[in-house]
Amino acid sequence: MALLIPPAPARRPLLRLAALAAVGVLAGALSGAVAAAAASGRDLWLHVAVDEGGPDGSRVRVTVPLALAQAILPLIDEDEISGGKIRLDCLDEGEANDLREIRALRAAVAAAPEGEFVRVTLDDETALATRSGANLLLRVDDEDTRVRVRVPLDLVDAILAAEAAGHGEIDLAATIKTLAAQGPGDIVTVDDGHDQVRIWLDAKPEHDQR
Amino acid sequence: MQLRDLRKPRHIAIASLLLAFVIAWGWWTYTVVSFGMMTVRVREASRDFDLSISCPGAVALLVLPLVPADALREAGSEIERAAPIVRTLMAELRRAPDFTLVSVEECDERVNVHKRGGNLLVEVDDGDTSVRVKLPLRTADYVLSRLAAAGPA
Repeated sequence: MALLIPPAPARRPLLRLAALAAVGVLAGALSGAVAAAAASGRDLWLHVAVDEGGPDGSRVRVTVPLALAQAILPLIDEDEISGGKIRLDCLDEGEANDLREIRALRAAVAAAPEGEFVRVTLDDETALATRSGANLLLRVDDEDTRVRVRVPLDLVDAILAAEAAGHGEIDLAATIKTLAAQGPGDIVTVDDGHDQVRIWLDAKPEHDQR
Repeated sequence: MQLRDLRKPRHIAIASLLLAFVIAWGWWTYTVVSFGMMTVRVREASRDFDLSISCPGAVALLVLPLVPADALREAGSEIERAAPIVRTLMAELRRAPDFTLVSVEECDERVNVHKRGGNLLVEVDDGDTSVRVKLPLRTADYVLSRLAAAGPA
């Protein structure tokens, strides 16, 4: 799935957050550990849409039944993902730092009233963050980019809780449980003014126009 | 009495043979239908080239037993790690309704992977060349299971 994230923006810290969330989402979607989630996820579809800007920009659509993803993840046996879990000791320093920044961001947003934007610094970049309903919203506006990230707070909390538990790994079952419980809806949306990335769950396999 | 005694076993034998033939034919027909057809079609507009190959997936049932065990074992060991994932993927795809798995468009190039019925369809177009591959999921699952079984113990 890394190929689906535009390479240039992915280096940006905010997009790294989105990418991390996306990895959590996708990897979590691949988990088969939670029977309840599997039951509710049976009819859900995980969609990924990437649209590159410009006349020659590519358009990528990926659709995966959540049940398929849930069945496959436990079978993956790589260094970083094994048995349906992400090993944190395999994260490099930058990724570990991202987790720390996400934790600080989550704390800052939790302390502020809902809907009120707080200024946070992510990897030397200033962003505005707020809670909106069950989502964490991030905004970055500068001269040539416009980034919007929307991530379910439950998803962020599930990732952070697993990391905080100190098992050295993120149990993706929590993530899939969160996703399945939320039902259809956006998981991550990124719009940097040139490229758009959207990851969402839907009850139907067709991609809607958006 | 004598004639009846002679004819009876002969009738039974003929009826048994016919029944066995019908059962075998029915089984083979069912197998051919359920394994589907593998199809590859390549077209190049600039060269006016058009190649189409179709083959019943059930041919795998006949061909694989003829492949030397060493070759099967070698192939099995090469796909050892990926085989469980691919087999699970095939099984889940067979359960899923029809849908488009992947769609990529860039300039005049397009790649689509669909699940249609019991088949995986791959379509690649680059403006001049068009490739269509239809792979019955059941055939792929059978071949992978045979390779996995032949792999290293």
